[in-house]
Amino acid sequence: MAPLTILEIVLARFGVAVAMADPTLAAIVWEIRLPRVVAAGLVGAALALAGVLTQGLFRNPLAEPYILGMSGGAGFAVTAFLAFATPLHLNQAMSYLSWVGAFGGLITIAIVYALASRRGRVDPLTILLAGLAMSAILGALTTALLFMGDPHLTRLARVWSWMGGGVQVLGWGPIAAAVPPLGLGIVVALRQAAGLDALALGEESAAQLGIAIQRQRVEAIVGIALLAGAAVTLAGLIGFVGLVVPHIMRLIVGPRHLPLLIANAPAGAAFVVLADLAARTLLPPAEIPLSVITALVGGPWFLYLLRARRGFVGAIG
Amino acid sequence: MRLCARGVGHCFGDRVVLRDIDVGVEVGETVAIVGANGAGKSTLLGILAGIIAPRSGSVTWGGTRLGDFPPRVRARSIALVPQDVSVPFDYTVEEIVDLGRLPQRSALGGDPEGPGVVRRAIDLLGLGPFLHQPFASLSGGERRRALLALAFAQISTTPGPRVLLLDEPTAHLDLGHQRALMEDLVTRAGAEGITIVTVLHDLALAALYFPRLMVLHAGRLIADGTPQAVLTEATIETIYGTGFSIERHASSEIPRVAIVASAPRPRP
Repeated sequence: MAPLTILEIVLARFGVAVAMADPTLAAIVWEIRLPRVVAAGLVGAALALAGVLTQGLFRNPLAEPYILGMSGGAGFAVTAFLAFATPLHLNQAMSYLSWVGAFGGLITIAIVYALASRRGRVDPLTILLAGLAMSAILGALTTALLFMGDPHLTRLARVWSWMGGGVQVLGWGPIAAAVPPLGLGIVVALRQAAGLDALALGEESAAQLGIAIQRQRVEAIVGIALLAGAAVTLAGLIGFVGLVVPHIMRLIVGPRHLPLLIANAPAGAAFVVLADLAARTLLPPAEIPLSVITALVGGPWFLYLLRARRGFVGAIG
Repeated sequence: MRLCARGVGHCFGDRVVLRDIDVGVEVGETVAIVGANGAGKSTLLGILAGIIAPRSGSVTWGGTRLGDFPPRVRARSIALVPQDVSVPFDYTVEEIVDLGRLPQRSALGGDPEGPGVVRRAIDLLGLGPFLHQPFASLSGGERRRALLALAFAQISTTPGPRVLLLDEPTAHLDLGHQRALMEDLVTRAGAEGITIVTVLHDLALAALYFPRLMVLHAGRLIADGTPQAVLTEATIETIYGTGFSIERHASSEIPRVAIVASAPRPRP
């Protein structure tokens, strides 16, 4: 399809241009293709910002909502919610699923945080391992819940493919529902910039610079949960975006958090839109799950960073 | 008294680290806190900086309790230089020193004096050549100087009394760097009228550069005065046990504490 045709369809939709394209084509673009691209962009922006916040908060370049189990927590919360919602309530439930996901992420990170901290200090290696274990446990619980709550497996297939990670949204509904928590998450994220810079020097230095550490920590965690919750609700469990994109952007715009956060939103969006494009087009007519693409790019990246940063992780570990 | 602790006590869990500390520091004074490992020196420093709230007693700054200041306002006149920091991301030296300006920034991030002040602090401590190098790649001594530059940038534009609190600024530095840092600290801070309170392990440096020493032992302040008055056989034995001698050189008034080995060194 020519780019001009797509532009024409979109403009016509907003009443800017006269509709000339084939109505079927217009419906495909407006109801299927465009929401998918927009959803991919939002998910990418949310995951990249959540990655920056997580790394800054835990002073750990390897931390990321997926790796720390927050995505798994959001997924479990959403699944549990759907499993116990009656079909009657299901349609209304859709509009606040993101908040449910954010809540699940929040509870998970609280547990992981408590597991990894000793006398107020968070061990960088322990938190990665605690997150990994929580991810595995929550994944298993999610699966178990699906079998328990749904003996006839009517919803299983759909939830299964959603948890597998991908932007298979239909229409604009899910996107509209995800925008409020996502917008709030972005605002919270931008407010953390100065505090996260100070925190790079350690808690003692940040405190002496006048940063209210406790409040900062709570705000940042809420921000991460909102962003990860919205992303998981839209696209399931997609890992490593919050690792790869912040790392690349740090090389380009530097480590200071205000420019870093601002740069990560469009970069994360572009990364996931492209990954989704690859997922759709690499093996036609089959569609590779988006999470497979991001894991194939991000997994090796994580391993490389783990090796390159081993000295650092060991040093304060 | 400008910075004043009254009846300060603190504990971590059920371990008491400080009890009943009463100290006051006047504007422009330079003081070294000495004592054995675990005597509570760093905790006292944190309490004086306002980043640790003491379990009992209170600290006042110009008559107002430290806890009553908004943290950012407090941070404009009281700076704490930690022992050493590890930075997980590649901030340059300039970016690190610039962090000192955080409490001075307006709500919208404006700080017209900022760039000039940061530049001056960097030049002051001879960090010019490292300006765009990653902070994490510096040597221990260079990192210490960068943290000192951050503290200078933090408080140097604040009108009125200011205090610089330092935790072991010379730890792990060679003799040359120890001397350079002390000279920088005492002369620069003296020129600007900044009060200095520093924790020091090295009694020789403390006696040499500071007219007033405070001695902490097991959480209590057991001596407070000039090096001549404080560095006595009795005090040294209380802190470190036996096995030390105090040498008083005829040429100067400064006492020197020396280790006495229990057995003479074997000769070849």
